[in-house]
Amino acid sequence: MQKNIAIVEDEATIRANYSDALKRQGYHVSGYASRHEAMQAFKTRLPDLAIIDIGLGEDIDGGFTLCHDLRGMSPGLPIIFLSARDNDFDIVAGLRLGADDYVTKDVSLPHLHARIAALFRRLDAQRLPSRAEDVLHRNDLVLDINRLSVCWKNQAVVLTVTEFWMIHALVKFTGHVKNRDQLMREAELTVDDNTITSHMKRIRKKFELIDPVFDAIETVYGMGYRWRA
Amino acid sequence: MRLKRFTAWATGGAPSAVRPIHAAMKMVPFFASVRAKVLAASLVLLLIPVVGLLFVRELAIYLRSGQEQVATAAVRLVAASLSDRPEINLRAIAGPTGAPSPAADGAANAAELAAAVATALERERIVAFFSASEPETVASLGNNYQPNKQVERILNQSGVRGGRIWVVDAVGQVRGLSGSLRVIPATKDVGKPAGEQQPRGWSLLLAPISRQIMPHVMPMVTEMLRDADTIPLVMAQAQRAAIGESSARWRMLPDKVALLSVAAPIWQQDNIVAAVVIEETDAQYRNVAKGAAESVITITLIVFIVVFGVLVAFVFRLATRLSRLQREANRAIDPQGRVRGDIRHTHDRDEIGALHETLRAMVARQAGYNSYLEQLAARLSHELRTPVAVVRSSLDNLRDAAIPDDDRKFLARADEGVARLSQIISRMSEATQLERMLQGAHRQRVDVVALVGGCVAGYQQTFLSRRFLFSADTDICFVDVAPDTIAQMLDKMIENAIDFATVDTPITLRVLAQEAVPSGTVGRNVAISIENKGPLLPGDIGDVEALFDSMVSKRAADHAQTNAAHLGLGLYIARLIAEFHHGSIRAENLPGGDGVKFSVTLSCSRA
Repeated sequence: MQKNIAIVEDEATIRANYSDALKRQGYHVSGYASRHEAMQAFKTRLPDLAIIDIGLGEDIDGGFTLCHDLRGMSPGLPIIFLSARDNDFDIVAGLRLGADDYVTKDVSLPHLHARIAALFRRLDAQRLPSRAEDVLHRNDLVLDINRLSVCWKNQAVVLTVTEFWMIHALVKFTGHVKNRDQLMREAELTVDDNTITSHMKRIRKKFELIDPVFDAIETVYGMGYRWRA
Repeated sequence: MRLKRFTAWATGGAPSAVRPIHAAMKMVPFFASVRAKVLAASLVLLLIPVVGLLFVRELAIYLRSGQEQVATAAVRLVAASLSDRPEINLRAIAGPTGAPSPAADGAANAAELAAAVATALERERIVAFFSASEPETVASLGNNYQPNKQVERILNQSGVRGGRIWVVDAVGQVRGLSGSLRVIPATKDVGKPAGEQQPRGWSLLLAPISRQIMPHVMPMVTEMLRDADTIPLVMAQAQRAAIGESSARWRMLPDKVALLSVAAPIWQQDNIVAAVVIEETDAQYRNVAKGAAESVITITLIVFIVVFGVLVAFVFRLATRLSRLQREANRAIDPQGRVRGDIRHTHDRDEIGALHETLRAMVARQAGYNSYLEQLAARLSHELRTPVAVVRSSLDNLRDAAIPDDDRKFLARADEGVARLSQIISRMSEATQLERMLQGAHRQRVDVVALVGGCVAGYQQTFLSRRFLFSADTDICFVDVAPDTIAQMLDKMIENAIDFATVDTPITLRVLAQEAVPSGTVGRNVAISIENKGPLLPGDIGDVEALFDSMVSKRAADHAQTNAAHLGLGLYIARLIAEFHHGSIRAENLPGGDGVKFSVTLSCSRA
């Protein structure tokens, strides 16, 4: 079945470029220039995935509002923020509003496609029973690669796709140090070192919400990170 | 300033070496200060006593001329009262010392009579001598003193006080003498006369001053006398009066007292038979003048002290306000031109208050402009990201299109360009992001030796062609830092070192915890240094400092062409992190002159 992707982006060229690229990948894509326009369409029919820009013309934080409304309409709908803003504040705000991922606009189309595919895969996997060989057990951690879900001490940790692959990279070989380049490759990220640091910080925070004394992720300064066995 | 650098970069020119303005606190030397100037100007106040004393001097001159007129009138009056009085015999008397005998034929009667008269005169003389108020004057006159009872009585009744009054006959014999110059003697400090006030309080304090000043205040008299014996002068004046010439003369006695002598002739019918001479000192007027001078000095001194005191207080308050303003203005903007504080609000409504407010507004505007410039990079990177996304997504789409293989290289080149552009953009926002990140950075206890050691191992893995040497003067050294930021700082410094290091030379990292300078009570400093062989720093010390400013790069042209983008932000970030840890970063050439050393001193509490 053809997946329906909505792109809400005020810049016509970018909207057209992404639409074309995703259409070539076999998706059905509809583009919207403003929050209002998008909401009108969403009320009639929800897309299977939404890519939202934060700044929508005059509506500086229109993307955040849209994400909030959309999340209200459908708790399970995958939402990706695609924004020119790359500061921690916006990333954290976006993810807190329930977005599944946050990519900056200098992401390449293949990377964007990989994210979208991963999100759809997770969506599909949630409907399937998990297979034993796709589940990694590391002490208190349970990692389901098919569902892209993580449990720590039997509690689900809500991670974005990027964060999931980072954890996956660390956990695959417990005790091995993964440097920033490796983590970036695993998570199919094209961002600078700094973003890895803030991703790691966020991942730690998410684990700490469940377990205040969480310290399984160890920073090896100058080298990278490792999952403590 | 930063904008200039930025435009220099943006237009592709070489990064301009804009020197930071060194707004070092300038101390004003006292002699050049407003205080000194106002104090000097207030010395004009000293004119007040001078003017006062000039006035007193005028007064003294006026008094003196008054005294002269009074004395002249008095001498005329006495002369008039003695004139045309036949009963008063003022004709020359033959003294016992060979004066011609009245009876030449030697009549015994006459001789007896003469002897009797002489005896009577002698007696009179002796009586007068003992009754004289100035016996020594009388004594020095000797036989020339031939007093006439009537004359003396008239003289005594004439009421001339405060002086001597003489009657001298035509042959220069003194026929009458009354009064004394010492009735109101010269005002000397010793032997205070009864009439003069005892100096008290102020006068006592002022006595030395007035003693210095009085001679200048009193009008000068040109003729100075060597001694107090004025008899010859009196005689000379009397002789001139005897030829009909009235005169008034001022002389100065040795004890600095002016002496007035006036003379007038005594007539009998048409002949001048004698002369009256009045001598007077100016002592009484002098006391008036002195009192006036003292009052003037006292009052003007009080006025001077009060006005001067008020002025001093006023100018010191002004100067204090000004220097406080200077201090605040200096503190508000640091040597790099960054706004580090603000000038507090003032309620003063005068010009200095207005200046204060103007400076305050200026600093606030500067702060606003600075933050605008600081955000410019971030904002610019944000704005640039959208067009880069357009180009990139277009290129990505193009890659899937049917393009002849020969033309793929153009696509690859375009990709490369976009990648570089997007690297520049992320670096531009990195500094701003870092500032934000530092605000939320958590300090924790970390072994700095292990931290740097770990980083070095990481660099060795990443840069395989480079050799890294690491040494520390201690095995373990726990400090309170934000470890992520320290690692980021090392990254930036290592990047810099690698870019400049000569091929095949090692890069040396050192942690110095033992030798570091103590930094007060909190703990000790930890120094991390990175050395590399290669080109030296720019010669100018200002340029070296500027290395750590935003958007400053001192790379030579050939360096600038190598790999990716250098915005001069790396060392700026390193500085921000060092400053976050209350530390400093500096660059210096190696002593051997074959490389450079960047060292960071972190001031952090040691565990």
